[in-house]
Formats: sequence, structure tokens, C-alpha cells
Amino acid sequence: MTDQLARIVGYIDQLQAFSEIEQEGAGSSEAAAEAADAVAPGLPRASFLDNAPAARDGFLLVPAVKTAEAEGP
Amino acid sequence: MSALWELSAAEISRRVRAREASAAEVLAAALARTAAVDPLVGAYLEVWADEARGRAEEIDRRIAAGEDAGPLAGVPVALKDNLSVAGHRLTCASRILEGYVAPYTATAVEKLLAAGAVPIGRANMDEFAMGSSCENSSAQLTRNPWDLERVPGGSSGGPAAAVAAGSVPLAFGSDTGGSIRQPAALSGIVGLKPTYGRVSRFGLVAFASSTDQIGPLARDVRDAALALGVIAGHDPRDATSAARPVGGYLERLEDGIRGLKIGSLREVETGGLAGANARCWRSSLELLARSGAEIVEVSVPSLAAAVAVYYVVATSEASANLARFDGVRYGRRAPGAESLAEVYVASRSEGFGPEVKRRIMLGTFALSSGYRDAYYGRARAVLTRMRRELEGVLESVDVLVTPTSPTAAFRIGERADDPLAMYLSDVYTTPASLTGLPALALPSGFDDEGLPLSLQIAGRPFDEATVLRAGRAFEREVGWRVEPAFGLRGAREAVT
Repeated sequence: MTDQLARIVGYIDQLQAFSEIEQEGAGSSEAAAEAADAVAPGLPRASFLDNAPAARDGFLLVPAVKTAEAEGP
Repeated sequence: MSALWELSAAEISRRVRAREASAAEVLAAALARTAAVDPLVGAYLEVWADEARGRAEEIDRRIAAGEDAGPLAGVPVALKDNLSVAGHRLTCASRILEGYVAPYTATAVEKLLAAGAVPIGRANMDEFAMGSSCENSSAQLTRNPWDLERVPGGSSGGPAAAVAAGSVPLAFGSDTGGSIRQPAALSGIVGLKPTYGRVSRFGLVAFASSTDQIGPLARDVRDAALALGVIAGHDPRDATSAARPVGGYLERLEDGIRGLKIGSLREVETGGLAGANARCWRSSLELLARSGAEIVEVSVPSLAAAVAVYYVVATSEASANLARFDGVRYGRRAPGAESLAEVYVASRSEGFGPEVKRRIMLGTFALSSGYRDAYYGRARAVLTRMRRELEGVLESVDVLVTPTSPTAAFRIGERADDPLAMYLSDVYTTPASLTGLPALALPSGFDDEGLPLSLQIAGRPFDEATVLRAGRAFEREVGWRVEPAFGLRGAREAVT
């Protein structure tokens, strides 16, 4: 994969040839409409937890990241 | 008389609404055809036969009660596996989403259901829509119905193969750098990438948020226009969807192209197009001219950098979008990890395939400290220049034409070890993606091996009506008709 990535980055390096680089503009000329800044119901917790690899008592279950020994005095 | 599975979406809807055929009969024909062809083609990851039967019966009941069942009444459709349908599995053909069930339905799919469409299943794709051959699916190989030893294109290879094989008249995919148009080209069908913002992305799993767009794959331009009218429109749940008028795609579809100014890119002539593809390209221009269009040669010099720009911008966005798949919140978690960091690393290492990893690494590199300006910043700057050049050209012509793909369908495995060669399949499709323009791919002829070739027509932002009208005029002149029974070369007896 290293060789493949090197070839791809080598290809992308052709962008350097575009010497007359302009400063980035304001993006698309078509302004997108923004969603209303209003409170709306979120995804039900049960639906979210159904897709988690592990859950308990209404929360995502993740491996311990802090052991008793690491907590110190 | 055509069998029900051979009918266009427009004709199916007409017959179902006129009670000349029932939605249940149409669905039965589609499921029978799918059962015959899909063991050969492998377009579907899952077929929802029972649910589809229930939906077809409901449409028949509504029509019997005198209700309007919608413009796609009883039309069987296939959905790419990155479109959310509540209660159904959604994997993006990736191991990392094993077991994930969509908790809500994509806006585009909601619109299809409201219009009377009958989704019959999840169609295969390149993992997370990253690929041009459908070979990057973690689930299965999908084969091109025109030649089972060749790829159907990608990333919407499953939807394209489903339509080309005659399983459904309409399918829906996503296009980030050409993922609707390129498989449509390689599979001999029509594919439309609408203007960025035309169709809500709510419920579409994000790959590169600045270019992702949902669109139809169809057997003809009329069905693509019909489908666009259904799924287009502003959606408050997608802040990038545009509050622009929708419609008019069918009304002037048959008006022809007399007097239309069509830009032919000089860069195509100098870009190394060869053989049958070059001959087909030139005859396409002649055909457009014979139809009354004025062909104008134009130039967009920065197009030479389009693939490079795309693979910086899209991978940068992908590296951020895919960070959410961490083994904690969705689907697969690697067993045996003992710390949170190990969960992340092991789950992503096991869950993502090689192409997704390659693009995450490329994007992370392009955004990393010390390289951001040289790669991402420069790509964005060249993109700005490309946008200005294209806007300038589209002030003088109504639409632009190019081939859709530099080659016809290639053999399975032929480019598997050369990702750069695969990326260069996108040379003609990435400019419209990067600049948000609408673009249509449609069949234009055959190469020397009898494989389909394709013309791409791109237009001004939100002017899909002109793009579709030009496409329909071209289609009428070419006289193309997808021939599903012919398509399964070497397997005709098995499916007819």
C-alpha cells in the first residue's frame, strides 16, 4: 500500500504545476438555504442504543479507560 | 407485447393507475426476473420481497378506492446500500456497519414511498461509495449484465446492474465523483447526478459532504426525469438542500435541441481518447449537430487537474466523515480490545477495507499540519479556478458534452492492484461533481467488443430540464433501448 500511496501522492503533486493559484473564493455561487434554528426532537435514545455494539442502563458501554491503579490516591 | 419487467417506470405507473395492471402483478414480474438474473449478476445485498408485496397490495387498494397513488405507482425500485430505510440494515457494503439498522428513512426514500414506488431491496456498492468498479464491496462481487466477466462500474454498481439486468426499471444511488454516471455508462443505462443541493442528502451516509448527491439510474431519459421530479426539493433537515423551484422536467422533454448551443471540450480531443471511444465521441457530436444543435468548441484548462483536486478534497472530507465509525457508536466492535484506543484501532482495522483505509490515509495526510496548504489548500484554490472557468463557459453555451468514461467496462480484477488507474476512470465525471453542476450519462454506442459507451451532458446549476431535454433528443436519435435479455451474454437461456 505504501507504493500505491506514493504513486497517488505523486500524481496529486501535479497541482503544484498550477502556478497561478488564486485565493479561494466564497465557494459555490449558489447559496444554500440554512435549516431553521429551532428545537426539534432528536433520535430516540432506544434507536441509537440499538445500533451500538454494547449498551447498559441506557448508556453506551465502552471498555474501561481508567483502571483503579491508574486513579492514584 | 413487452413483459411487465421490460416496461419503463412511466409505463408501469400509467398502467397501474389505469388499472390495466396491478402493482402486485408488476412486483411479481420484477421479483421473478430478479430471482432469475441476480444469481448471475449479484446486484442485491438483500431483497425485501414480503415487505414489497405488502406495499404493492396497499397501492392496489388505494387505486381501487379511487386515490391517486402517485407518479411512481407500483414501480419497483432498488436502493443503494447507503440510503437509510428505517428498520432495514444499512451497511455501505462495509464490515464496520455489520448489524447496523437504520433508525430513520432518507428524505429521498420518503419521497419515493409517497410517490408509490415499491423498493425491492438493497443494492451492492463499493464500500462507502469509494470505487469505480463495485469490487470494493466487502459483501460480494457484482457483475456487468453485458458481460459477466466485467465490472458494472461503481460505486453504484449494484443499482446499475439491477437496472441493466431488467430487475427494476429504476434504481437510486449516490454520486460523489461519478458514482451514478460511470456505472450507468459501463452498464449501458442512463444515470443522472442532479445539481448539488437539488436533492436532500438527509439519510444518505456521508462520504464527501460537499459533493455527495442522490440521483436516479434508469433505462431511459424520461424515467430519469420522472424520478428527479419525485426526489428533488428543499428539505429543512439538510441545510445544503436548495430552496429552488422543482419540476418542469417532463413538460419540455420532447422539444428537441434545435438552436441549443452545446459546448464540446477541446481537452477531450487532446486527452488521449482512442479507438472506438474516440469514434463514438465524434459521431455523438455529429448526431447532436444533425439534431439542430450548434456545436461550439470550448476550453476549460483546469480540467486537467480535476482528478487530482477530487482525490484531495473528497479524501479529506472522507477522513473526517468516517471518523464516527469507531467501534463504539455503530455496528462492529473488534473483540478482545482492552482499552478505548485499542477499540478504535482494532475496530477500524478490521472493519474497513483497503480502499477505504487508503482514502482515509490520503485525506488525513492532505489535512495534516505542514501539508494542508500544499495539498488541501492548493486543491481548493484550483477548484475555485475550475469553477470560474466552467461558469464562464456556461455563459456562452447551454450545456457541455464529454464522454462519460474514457473506456468501456473493464475486466474484473484488471485494475484491482492499480488504484491510480481506477481513479482515472473519473476523469470526465469529477468536474461536475466538484463544481456541483447537473450531469447526465446516457448510452451513445458500442465499442469493438459490443460493450456500451456513454455520453455525458452537463448543464448550468439547477437547469436539469435543459440537460434532460438534450439527453432525450440524443437518445431519440441514437435509438437506444436497453435489451436486458441480450444483456446476459452467455447466460441468455438461463434467464429468458
